[in-house]
Amino acid sequence: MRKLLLLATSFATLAAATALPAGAITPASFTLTAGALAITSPTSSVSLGTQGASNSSSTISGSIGVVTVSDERGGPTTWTASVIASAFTPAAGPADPASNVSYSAGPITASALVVALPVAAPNLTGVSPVVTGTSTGVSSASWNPTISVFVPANFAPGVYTATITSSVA
Amino acid sequence: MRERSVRGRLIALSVVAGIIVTATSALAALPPQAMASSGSIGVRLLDVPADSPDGSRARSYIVERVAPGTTVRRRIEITNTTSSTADIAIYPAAADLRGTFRFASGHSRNELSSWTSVSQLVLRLAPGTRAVETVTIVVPKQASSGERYAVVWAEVSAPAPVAGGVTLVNRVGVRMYVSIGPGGAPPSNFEISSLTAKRSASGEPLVVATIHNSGQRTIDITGNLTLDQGPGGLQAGPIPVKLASALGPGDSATVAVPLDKQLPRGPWRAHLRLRSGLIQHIAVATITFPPLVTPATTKVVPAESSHLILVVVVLLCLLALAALPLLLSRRARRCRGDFEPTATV
Repeated sequence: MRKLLLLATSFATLAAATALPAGAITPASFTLTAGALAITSPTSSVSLGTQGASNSSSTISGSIGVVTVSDERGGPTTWTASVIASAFTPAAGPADPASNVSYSAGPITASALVVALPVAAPNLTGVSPVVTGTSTGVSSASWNPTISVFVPANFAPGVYTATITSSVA
Repeated sequence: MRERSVRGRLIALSVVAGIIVTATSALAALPPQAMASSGSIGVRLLDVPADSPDGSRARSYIVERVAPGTTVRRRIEITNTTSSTADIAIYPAAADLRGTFRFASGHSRNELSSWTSVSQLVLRLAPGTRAVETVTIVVPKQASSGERYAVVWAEVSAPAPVAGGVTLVNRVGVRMYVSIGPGGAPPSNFEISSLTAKRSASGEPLVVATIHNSGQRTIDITGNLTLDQGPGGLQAGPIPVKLASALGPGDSATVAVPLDKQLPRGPWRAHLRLRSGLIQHIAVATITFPPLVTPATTKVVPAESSHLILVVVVLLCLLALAALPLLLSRRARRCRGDFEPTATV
């Protein structure tokens, strides 16, 4: 019985020795998958303000809420936040074109590892870059943009509606 | 026994209260902007190649080098970290690379976006959940070589306003860089090389554009012309534009868009949008039509050169006048006999 046990033990030792030869380097690695690039989800539509109709031109400015871009992709990455607006359209009558709509990112609160720079966007007819981010790691940037709408003279009173689309990629 | 359990509860409560206080103070320490954040919609690329020759770009973006006729499947993960259920629209849209990577608006299409499809157009995600979506790129056999750009977007929209206001739409995407290898059809492209204002012999204002086929295939071109920022904020168009015949590779053609005689001279901002299949080019120029009294712009050029002739004649006369006293004095000296040698030997 003891002999058998000894044999078994020696076999086990041999097996272990075969499996792990002395001095061998066991390759060990792990993979960190890239995380997500994310943008704040808008919760509700916003109003930029109310102003009396006038026979002189004016500008209405307002906030559309904080935009946060979080970049968990890691490593050296870049992203661009771009914005486009539709015309501000009343129920009846002429619309205020998107060429009269501007976007100002204002001060940007950025975490470490990202350089986020605002880009002036005086005309939102086309998709216009508003903030560019160059990151070297997991990071985030927030800003509270101001939308300014130039209202030409003699615009009729009414509620003007528009869609503002923010894109990050 | 009862007393002990009450004390136990008290301890538990105070621990919870402590956590709340800590959490509150932590929140208070954050910048006010971060506090206003309402959660996000995120997108990430799955199955990232560990050792890609494209380096870090391939970790964040869909980067593919494929032959025509290839089908590529990539997976992306969409996350909803908000506290409410989100309906997320997933779609590919056009992009291009002109200095920087630029996104096209809305659902704009280009070749790559039209080859790309997703399995679900709208994804309903419960708060704090994620879902995997497959992006399929079917590169046609006739696809011409070259790099194509697009973005796969995950888009969320705030509910439409009840009483007016601004509807906010936010989208986040994964860029696509797909390089097509040789073997497909030759590429097609065109350029709008000039955009000018002229007037026809019969007095109609004309917008004339020169189009050059810079690709390697015969193409048909259609599009439209819009005039805006005219006198008193006037606008005109869109006026349909069609090239009379197909344009061969390397060829150029002129297209003239006739407009109404009553149209003010300008200046106008002219936008010419031309399209051939999925290729679209826009030329923008500030133009002023020649006055109606002048029969055509082509006659303006000789008018300018006649001005030039006049200037030359006047200059010659002035030169002759200046040289006259010199000539006269020479003649007088020659008459006196004191001839000056012109050169010393």
